[in-house]
Amino acid sequence: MNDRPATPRTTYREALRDALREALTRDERVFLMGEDVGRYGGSYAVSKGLLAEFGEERIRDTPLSESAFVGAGIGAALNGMLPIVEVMTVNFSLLALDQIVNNAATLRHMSGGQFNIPLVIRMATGAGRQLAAQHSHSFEGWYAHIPGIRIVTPATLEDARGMLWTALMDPDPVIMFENALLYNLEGDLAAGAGAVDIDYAAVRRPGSDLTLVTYGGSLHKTLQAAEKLAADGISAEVIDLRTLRPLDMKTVLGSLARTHRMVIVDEGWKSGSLAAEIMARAMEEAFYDLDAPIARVCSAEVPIPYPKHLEDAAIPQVATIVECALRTVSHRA
Amino acid sequence: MVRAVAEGEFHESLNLAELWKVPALFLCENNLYAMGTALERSEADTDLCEKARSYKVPARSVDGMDVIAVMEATAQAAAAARAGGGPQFIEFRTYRFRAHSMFDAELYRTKAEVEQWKPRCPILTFTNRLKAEGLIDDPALAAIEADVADEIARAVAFAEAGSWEPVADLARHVYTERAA
Repeated sequence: MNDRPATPRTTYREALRDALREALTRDERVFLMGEDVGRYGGSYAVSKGLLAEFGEERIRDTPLSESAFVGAGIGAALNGMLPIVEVMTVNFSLLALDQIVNNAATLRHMSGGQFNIPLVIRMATGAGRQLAAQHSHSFEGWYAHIPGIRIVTPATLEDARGMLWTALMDPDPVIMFENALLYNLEGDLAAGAGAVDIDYAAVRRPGSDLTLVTYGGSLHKTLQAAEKLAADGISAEVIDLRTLRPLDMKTVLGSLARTHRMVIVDEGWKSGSLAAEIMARAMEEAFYDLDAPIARVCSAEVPIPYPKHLEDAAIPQVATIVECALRTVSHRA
Repeated sequence: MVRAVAEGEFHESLNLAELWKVPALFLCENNLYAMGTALERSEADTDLCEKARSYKVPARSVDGMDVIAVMEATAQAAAAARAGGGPQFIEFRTYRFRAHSMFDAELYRTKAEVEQWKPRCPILTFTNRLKAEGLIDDPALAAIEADVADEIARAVAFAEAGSWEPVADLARHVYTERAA
């Protein structure tokens, strides 16, 4: 008898590492490069041990040259490789914006479909670790503005384990945002867990009174908020967007059609944000489903501060989500 | 255009290429201007080979108006890269006779400067050399000119005869189409 547990305990970090290991094992075109991914083991220890396992050719430490190594990844992808490029955090990815936005996102369209860039760029995002403004922002909504790239935001162990392979098999560039607070997330993951879709949003908690739409690190706060709301007799449906571009509005609007009320929780700033885009689309496509104005819980419009109490005050929290949800459900149609 | 040497990518990629001994050629057409700004107005050090050498990338400067020199230098660099010598940098010292684009009023240089360079036109000097060495005569040269003119005319005619991309296809190829 096999006495291995069917659902071993694991962490988000280990799930990501298992996904990297699987990809490197399954396809020799796959390699990982980025700052500190080798000897150091990854700045968030995701790639720890992989250098010893797969060698210098496939686990490549790079200089602090985001533009050059993201560009090199694009070049390698154009030439038939399947690169995984790790950029330490989304804040540093701004140094590679030209490569991502002007090259990776455009070359397929500019070439009339002749060039594909099967590249995956992974990066950490989000606040909550007292790393101050230059290491704590959430720019995934910015990236979601750009046609030509796909944006995925694994928030669960299943998605951390399963999105990478699907993203690598996608013929177009995919950016994977890993909220840094999730790396230590612990839970059970089925032993056979593997590739998952990167097309659809997921209903993480069914409910009937209002829809809470979120993604990434905010998912868990939103689920906690839904739990608190349930104690008050309010049934909140929680949707995890999973993929920010293209947006699965069908799932979002399907939920709204049942609940008629919606709150969006997004760690980005409100102005020009992904949350704003979802509101706009809901207004365009489902205006008459609404029984209350759509509300948002976003970050305060400030650079994320260093002191703990200010950082906490700047980003969405369970209490602010609950408060916003209560306002939304008490609004009379 | 010599503009790219001021970009961080120039330095980042030379460093990365040498670090990983990538068989890459870095070919810089130094036409003295970064669009409309003269090199000495935008570079603290206008010796471009020195920049490459500072990353241990072998570098040389050749007369970019000399067809044979360009060919030989490129062939040597390619051979060195193929032989495991890592990236190679060549600066071709050249010039742009025409404006950068149709919007360029060329306020940044004199007509006299442009005229000074024209006698060094690589097509002109190369054909003169071939003729002087008896490798080609005027009728043969005229035949080449006619061939080239004809090829261009056919390409233009082909393009003119083509159909425009349908507007309905505007959003195609942003992403790879998936099987439904």
